[in-house]
Amino acid sequence: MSYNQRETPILAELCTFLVEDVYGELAARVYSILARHGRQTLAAVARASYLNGRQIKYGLVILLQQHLIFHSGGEPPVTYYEIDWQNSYAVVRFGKVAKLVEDRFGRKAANVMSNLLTLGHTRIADLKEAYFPPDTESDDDSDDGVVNGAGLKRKRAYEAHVNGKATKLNGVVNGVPAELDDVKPDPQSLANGDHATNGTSKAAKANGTAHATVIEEVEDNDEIASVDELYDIIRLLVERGWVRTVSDTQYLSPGDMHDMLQQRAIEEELGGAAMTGTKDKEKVHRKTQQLKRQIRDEWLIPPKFSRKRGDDGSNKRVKINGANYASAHKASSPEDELVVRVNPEKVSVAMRTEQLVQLVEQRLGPVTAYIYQTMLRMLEAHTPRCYEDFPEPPLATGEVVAEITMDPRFLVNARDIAKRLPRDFDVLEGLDPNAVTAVTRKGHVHRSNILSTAIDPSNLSMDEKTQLVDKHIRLLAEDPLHFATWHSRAGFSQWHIEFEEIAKQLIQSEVENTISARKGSLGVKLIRALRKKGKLDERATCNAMMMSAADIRGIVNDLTVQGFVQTQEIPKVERREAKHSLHLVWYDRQRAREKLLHDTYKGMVRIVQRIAFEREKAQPLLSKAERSDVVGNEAKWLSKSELDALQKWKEVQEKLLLQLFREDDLVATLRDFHGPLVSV
Amino acid sequence: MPPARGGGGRGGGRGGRGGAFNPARGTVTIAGTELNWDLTGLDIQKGPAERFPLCAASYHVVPAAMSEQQSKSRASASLNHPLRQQQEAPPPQAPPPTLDETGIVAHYIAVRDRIHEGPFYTILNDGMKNGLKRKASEPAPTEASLFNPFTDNQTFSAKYLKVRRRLPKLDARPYVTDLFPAELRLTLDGTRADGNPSKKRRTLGVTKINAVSQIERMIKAEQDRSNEAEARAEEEPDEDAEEEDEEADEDKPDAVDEEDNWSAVSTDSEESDDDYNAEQYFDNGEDDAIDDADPYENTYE
Repeated sequence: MSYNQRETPILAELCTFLVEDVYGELAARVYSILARHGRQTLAAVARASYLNGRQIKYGLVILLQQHLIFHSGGEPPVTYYEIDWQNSYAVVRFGKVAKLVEDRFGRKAANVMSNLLTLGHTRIADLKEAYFPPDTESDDDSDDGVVNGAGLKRKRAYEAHVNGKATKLNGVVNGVPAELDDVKPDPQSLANGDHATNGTSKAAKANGTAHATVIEEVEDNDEIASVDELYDIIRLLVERGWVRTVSDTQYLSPGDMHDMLQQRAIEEELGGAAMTGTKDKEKVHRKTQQLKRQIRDEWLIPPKFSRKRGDDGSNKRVKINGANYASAHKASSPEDELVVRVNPEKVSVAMRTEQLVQLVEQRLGPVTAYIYQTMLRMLEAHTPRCYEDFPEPPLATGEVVAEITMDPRFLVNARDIAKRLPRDFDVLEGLDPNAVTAVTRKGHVHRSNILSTAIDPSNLSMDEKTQLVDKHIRLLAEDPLHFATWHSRAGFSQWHIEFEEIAKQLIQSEVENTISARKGSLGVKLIRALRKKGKLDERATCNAMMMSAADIRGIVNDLTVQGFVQTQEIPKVERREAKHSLHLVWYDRQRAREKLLHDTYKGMVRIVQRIAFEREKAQPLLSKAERSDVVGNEAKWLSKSELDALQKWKEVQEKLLLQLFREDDLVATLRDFHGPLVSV
Repeated sequence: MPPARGGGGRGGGRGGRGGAFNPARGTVTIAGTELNWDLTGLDIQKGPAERFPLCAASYHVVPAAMSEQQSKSRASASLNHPLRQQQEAPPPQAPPPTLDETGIVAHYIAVRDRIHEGPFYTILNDGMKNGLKRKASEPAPTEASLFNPFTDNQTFSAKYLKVRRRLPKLDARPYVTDLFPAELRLTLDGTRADGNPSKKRRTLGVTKINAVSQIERMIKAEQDRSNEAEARAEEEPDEDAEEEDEEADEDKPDAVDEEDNWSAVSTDSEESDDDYNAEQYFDNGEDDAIDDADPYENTYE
């Protein structure tokens, strides 16, 4: 069968739609060819497409800049291109990335992050220049390099920025300054100048290796005021693994990477001789995996950021009095040449945190959930990814690889959490009153579960607080999902979190939720029975489920058709005859998971198509609203009914996107939190 | 039926544990309930009984709250599950967005809108669905077949239409050339079709403020307008309009130099502000003092 006759794989279709939605038609057309035909050279793409050579090249540039495709490097005479479906899928998470960063590091960091998302990869120097354009650019040249809108905004931002600096230089220290409409100078940074921001980041760096502060900056000022601040934000994001440096090996597709590293492994292990026999093969495989891990970890090593830069800049700035761009521009620092981009792996780690916290909130209440959130975010700083992509293969001889001792960075104790809680946080909430009295030793508990004496949570000593936090963690540990696991008694009980186990249970519960929605509780009962008993024939199934065969058959049939239950037919005699064969039924988590994932992708495709359709409907209106005479004068040129229609389109779009992102949550649960499960 | 047979033959006769046959009254006790000896017509459910039949949510494997959160995609189907209630239940509705989700959607739209305004976004409008070569049996779409007689006729206001690129404007921003394959590096330099490399300064387009989406801006403008209209009905509308015009002028796209890459709409005339421009001799009446009654009188909608 030729490619043209076969249906496009659903994921390729989804990615193409996403690329089209975000990056426009040209990029999506080129992408669709690569998605359809796989690894191709430029010439082959041109052959398969109706686009002309120039268009294809331009399209490839966009796709490469945004990391949507791989290329096989510059050295060989021909370059192959291949889609990077993981990054292409990650387009749907743009909103989540920005939001997660905002929750963790404040709005300024979210702003930097969303700019990085917009730009693909970029040199830090270019980014700096874009944020703080040098003086050579005349002030009113508002539309340089930007189509429209953005340039104007930048100009406004520029002015506001100068204003902010001016007030600073005048030494406004009297509390909260008058609020300008664009910029709200932060009183603290006004008082301390740049040292305030430097100080916090120093502190963060000092204990950054040990434990991360949970939320660094929560400021209502969401505009980056100086180059140093920008650099500090970038450094923070790099150190936490949200942003990573780009090297050309990252453009190699997994296949190319594998070939390259396997070659290297053969050279190192076998001295370049050809692989013969399984033993060699296994050795080389092991080495290749190790090299893959090594090269991936090297990408994540945060580069050294120079420390001196900040002082120079601020001194000069004071001298120049407001017009600080020249100085900021001149003071070039060694990290300017670094190329950075958003690290897509980290996103799923943060998404896992969010999902688990939500789950805990529903099961154990908001206070415990907050404590769990604190716990997970402390661990997040040291968790670059949810699972190991290139695990050490098990030894053939059957011996288990020596148990690796738990890395202390993955352990949390109650005291660390208690230190991080805000002062007015009520740890007493959500606990058994008896447990509370046992800790505080004040008063007793009435029969109606009420404390006899009121306890002020802000007056608790650190020890009491720690014990109460520990009580919360015990709640987490005792939950059927085992959100935390006791590790050792060192200090005040250390805990770790078995993400793997939790992820497996999450996957299972998602599968069961789906089945219960489609087939009711009997379907779930069947799945559970099969999961417990393994492969069963009909009689055994009846026994296990304590139901008659006629009742079970329908469910088994439906679930088999939907792909959640597997069947197998084993003939007992030579002829293949229904009567003389065994018909086995079983449940395979991995297959059910893949099926559900596939269905979810399909649902997402439908949503994206629906958005496109709804946009088509509103298109005449939208293009009118974008007319250059209408922009800015909407109230004048758009009628009430048109504005209503716009509002309606906005609501529809938001609703559909919301659903898209919820399905994406499901995809994360099913795909990103746990590696492939071993079939049982 | 099984109970009848069991009661008579085995369980009832012994009368020991639970299923007791009471010869005196002619009844049989099953599971603590006294029943008549003759059980015909008694409907016994074959499926397992609900453990908590009254509570709708107890159906779930995981507590309802958990499943509500996780199975958002199929949310409402699993919310009121029991079949009995499904007839009366309202049609499925996704739960409303939480605060976080609203934020996520806003961020997504903001990032996407910025990419759309950036130099890479293109709309080809060539009537194709994907980039593959069209089959021999399918003729290429012609100008005439793509023309929509209802919307595509050029009207006066077409000169204000936002122009969309057909080719990305690659020379607008700096690149890290080393990361691209050799065969594309020439393209990166932004060499035009005529072979002249462009000498334009390259900057990244970034925004420093978290942007508000365009539609929201419009809607806000509308609300402001209605508020203002209520507040000061008698004030003359002229000043306001002029100020806004000036603002709009700054917004114009810089599309002058690259006509070949742009769609057919020309933007020449609005760019220059001189009086000798014949096209500007007649304006569309936006500066005239419009009757207070209906500001939309002179406009196309």
